[in-house]
Amino acid sequence: MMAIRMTAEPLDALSKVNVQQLPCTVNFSGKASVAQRFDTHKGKTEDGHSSAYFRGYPLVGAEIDVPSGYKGVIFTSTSDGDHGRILKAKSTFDKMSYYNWSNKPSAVDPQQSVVEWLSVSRAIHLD
Amino acid sequence: MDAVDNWVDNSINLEISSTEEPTLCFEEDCVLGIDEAGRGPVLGPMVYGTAYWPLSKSKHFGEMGLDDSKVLSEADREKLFELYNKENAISGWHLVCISPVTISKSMLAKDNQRESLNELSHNAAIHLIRVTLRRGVRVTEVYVDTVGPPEKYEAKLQALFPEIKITVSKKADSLFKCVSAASICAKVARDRALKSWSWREGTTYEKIGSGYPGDPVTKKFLRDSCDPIFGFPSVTRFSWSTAEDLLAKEHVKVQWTLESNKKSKGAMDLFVKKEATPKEDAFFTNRCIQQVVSL
Repeated sequence: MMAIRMTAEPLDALSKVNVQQLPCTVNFSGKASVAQRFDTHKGKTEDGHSSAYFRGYPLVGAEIDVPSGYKGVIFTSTSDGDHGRILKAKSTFDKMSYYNWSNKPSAVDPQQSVVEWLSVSRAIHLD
Repeated sequence: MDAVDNWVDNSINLEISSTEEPTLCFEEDCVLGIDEAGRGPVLGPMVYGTAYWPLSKSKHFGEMGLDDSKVLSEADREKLFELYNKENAISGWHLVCISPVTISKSMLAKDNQRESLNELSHNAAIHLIRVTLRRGVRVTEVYVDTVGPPEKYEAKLQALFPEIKITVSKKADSLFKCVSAASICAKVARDRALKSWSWREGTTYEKIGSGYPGDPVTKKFLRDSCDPIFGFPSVTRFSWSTAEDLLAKEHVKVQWTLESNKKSKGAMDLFVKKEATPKEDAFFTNRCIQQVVSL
């Protein structure tokens, strides 16, 4: 059977990174000139949301905290031969920014509402 | 006009006007012309301008040599602008420099928030009239240059400003001196803005050409300055087909979430019975939560 093996060194030892999520799929994996080409266009909208710009598209976003007691972890995924894949913890984050295309961020965005699962999960899995 | 040379945050629009109080324009009926510069180019701001003066001074300004900015050399435009600017006790101008970022963002916004270039232009013209009226200028006649069909545009403006006699026409920049003056002010501002462009991405580009899609210098600039992921520097109007085509053909593909969510049903889907898969509860799908067994 295929399996996923996860390796996570002590998370505190890993570097903290800035996570920014775009409302589009970029068919590319690797280093990108984020600081020069993206961060330089970040600002605030008139009503105080964060604004950005990607390939001319208007982005409106928010910053969300990872709930206390949890940690955001980024894994790299490599093949483990016939056995499946290995996920290796690479870095961590305590907060992330996400952007919508034109629409103002709100509590119904999956990025914000996903944390509701945590309390449901706790209720059904603990005790 | 110095503000254009110092337009550092050129991702947001810039508005400037003649500084001197146009006292006579507060007392007498005035004619006001509106024109834009840089509508077609894929690079730089689109500048909307207005110039106005009392009807009683029409002869004076008619003899100044004002003409359609396109038939004048850059040096002549600068000279005429200086000449006109010196007369600002009895005349005035006001400019809105619409940033290429604003143009891209408006035209590439999500469906219900999208604004076409025509809407942007019309709103800029309406704004120019309002601002001048608010300044206290007694505007009684307005002349507007248009690229599209003039009738609808004229009716739109006339409905908004019933007290003013509105004339929208093609080639107004060569027919009416106040529109010529507006076209000169707008063109001078656009040229200066591009000359002193503050490059937000860190690299300065000297040669960007005219900005017209057919210009080989502009083509070379677009190729050389493009980042495979983020695309062109923000001096570029991403909503122009020249820019869009280059990105689509030569660089990293990008799908916008809504576009890729559209699951198209192929003809076979109607005939082939799909095995029933257990349906996830909406609680999970709404939050993009998925159970993962393998990756």
